[in-house]
Amino acid sequence: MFKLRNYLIILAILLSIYLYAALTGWKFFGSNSEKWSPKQEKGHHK
Amino acid sequence: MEDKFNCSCGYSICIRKSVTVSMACPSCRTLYCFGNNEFIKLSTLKPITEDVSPLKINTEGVLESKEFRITGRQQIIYNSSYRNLWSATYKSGEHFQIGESYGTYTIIKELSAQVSPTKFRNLKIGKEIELPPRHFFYVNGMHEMKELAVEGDFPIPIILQPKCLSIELSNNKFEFVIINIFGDSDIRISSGHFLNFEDFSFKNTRNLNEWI
Amino acid sequence: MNGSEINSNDNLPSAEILNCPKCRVALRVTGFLLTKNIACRKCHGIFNYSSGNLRLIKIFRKEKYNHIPIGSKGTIDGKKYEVVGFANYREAHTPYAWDEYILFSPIHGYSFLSVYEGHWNYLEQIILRPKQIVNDVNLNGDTYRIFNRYKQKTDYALGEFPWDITENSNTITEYINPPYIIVHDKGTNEETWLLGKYITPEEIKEAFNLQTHLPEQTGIGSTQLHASSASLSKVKQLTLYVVLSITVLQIILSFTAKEKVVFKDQLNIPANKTAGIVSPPFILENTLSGKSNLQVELIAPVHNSWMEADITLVNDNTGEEFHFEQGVEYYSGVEDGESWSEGQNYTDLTLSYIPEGKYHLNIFPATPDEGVGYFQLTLTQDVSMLSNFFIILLLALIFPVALWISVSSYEAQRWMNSDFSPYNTE
Repeated sequence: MFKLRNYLIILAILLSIYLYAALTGWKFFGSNSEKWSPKQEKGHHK
Repeated sequence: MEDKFNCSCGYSICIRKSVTVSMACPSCRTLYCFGNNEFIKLSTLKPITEDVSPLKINTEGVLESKEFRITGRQQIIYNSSYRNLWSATYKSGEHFQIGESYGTYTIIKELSAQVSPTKFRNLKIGKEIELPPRHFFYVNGMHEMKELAVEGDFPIPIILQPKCLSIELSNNKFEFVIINIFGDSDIRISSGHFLNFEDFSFKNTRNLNEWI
Repeated sequence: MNGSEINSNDNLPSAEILNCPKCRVALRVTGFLLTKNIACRKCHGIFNYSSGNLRLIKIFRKEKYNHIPIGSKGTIDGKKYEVVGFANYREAHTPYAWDEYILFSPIHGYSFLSVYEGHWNYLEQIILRPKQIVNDVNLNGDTYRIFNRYKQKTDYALGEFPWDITENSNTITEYINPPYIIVHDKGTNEETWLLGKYITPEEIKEAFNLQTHLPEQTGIGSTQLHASSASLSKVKQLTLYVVLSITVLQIILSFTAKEKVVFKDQLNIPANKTAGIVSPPFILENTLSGKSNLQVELIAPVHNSWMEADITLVNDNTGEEFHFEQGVEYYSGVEDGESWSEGQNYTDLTLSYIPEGKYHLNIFPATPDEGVGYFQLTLTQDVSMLSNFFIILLLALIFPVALWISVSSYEAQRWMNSDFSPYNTE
């Protein structure tokens, strides 16, 4: 059964995700880069 | 103030001095009407039929903070339905009637408006009509009176006519009208409004313990 | 103030017991003057009752089972009733049949329980006359839509009735506003308006303390509510607010996006296929969260050719690397007199979560032998993301749309039982 409370929770989550994405530059389905950081692999060269 | 009146059957009836206009003998069901400084015997009526009404003579109640008491009842039996018209008097002496039929309750007062009977010819169920002053009603019942039974006393005359057409009207404002056409031309219009049983704050009713 | 002496009976009377004139079975009368007909459970005869006398009107051929026994007492909506009658009706000239229980209270008069395909309605007479609006009626500001109009035929009766149960000339009209129903019963001398409400079998069982099981429910009742229909209007309102809020937010975000071009250069593709290009350094500016997106646009003059680049974005401060590939291709020609083309010389992608700092690019371009000589690369920091807006909007709308579809199909099913269905366009 559909519960209004559940829908409110879903809306709150969606809105949070949207705001979080706007703040951090997260584009949904947008990034296809592979991230590498120096901690992951010793001896990696630029 | 009360007084005593001796019925022709020998029964001694309590009456309200200078108030009682009509009364029925509880013993022989003779109906009397006050006229020429004496009670005149009108007719002998059939006894009241059991109708499982919660009300009875001497039932008391409160309407708009005013206490009242029931002193009489006209039980009108139509071809396919019935109505009790309970005669009630406030402590101030003001008189009104409580209509009771199949669990619906109305308070009713007779209007003095003079209306031509032609207005009510050819009425049909569901038809809208206007009654002064600018009140619109719908016809929701038309009944030929079959029998009248009376108990108690009344500050009004009881009309005995062999022929009476009773037209019931209501609207969407809880208002209610009964048009009684006695014979061919004598029209009496009563109006009032619907109330719930609880609105009357009845006490001294018949024993309703099983139903409350 | 005293009234006249009256021998009023202080107690309500017990039921009067009469013998069926046909089969001598005991018949109960509880309504006295109010009772018009009495039907016998044994011989199925229906009698006119008047002043204690019984006159046979008709004998019913079929017996129907009543789930609530005559004489049962119960409380509905805080009102105590006794079940005094049971009738099985059919819509005249149709096979649609339903049961009705007649409830009696000396205080409240007669009320009714009607059951069709396991769906129950509790009906009371109303004193407020509904307003007629074309085909529909309005009561207390609520519109009740016409659902059915018919004449009924009594197939079976049991117990007592305050009207002539065999008289079936009245026209009955039903108007619905689930979970409520208004029934208008119009005859030659009288009309009655009833207001009903959907009542569950569980509530019936509880009201009359029944241990037996009630008829199975099939289909959708004329006044049955969709489990979530009450939420729909709230959800509609809420959805409107959410759409408006997200739209306003998106407009604000679009206007406040920096959209700063941090790198733009035309780069030549080295003749040596294994050689790469190292870009000059550039800066990604500080943002509120320390991270932002980065849009990478690649344009190359490809014609019947392709070009792709293996690109690594390197953070000079932390050594973090972001590796991605981009490519463009464009082909065109004429075939059977028709010109055609596919692909384009432009592409872009957006990288997420790129921290602020100093960066450079390592680019390894690749082209076919008759290669493209150069390409242009543009990097823009903090671009507005319209796609995020549409995705969130879509997700936020899934539930209300699903609910709306569910309620609409439920309503369509409900109205399948009606001759006045708004879903019937014929």
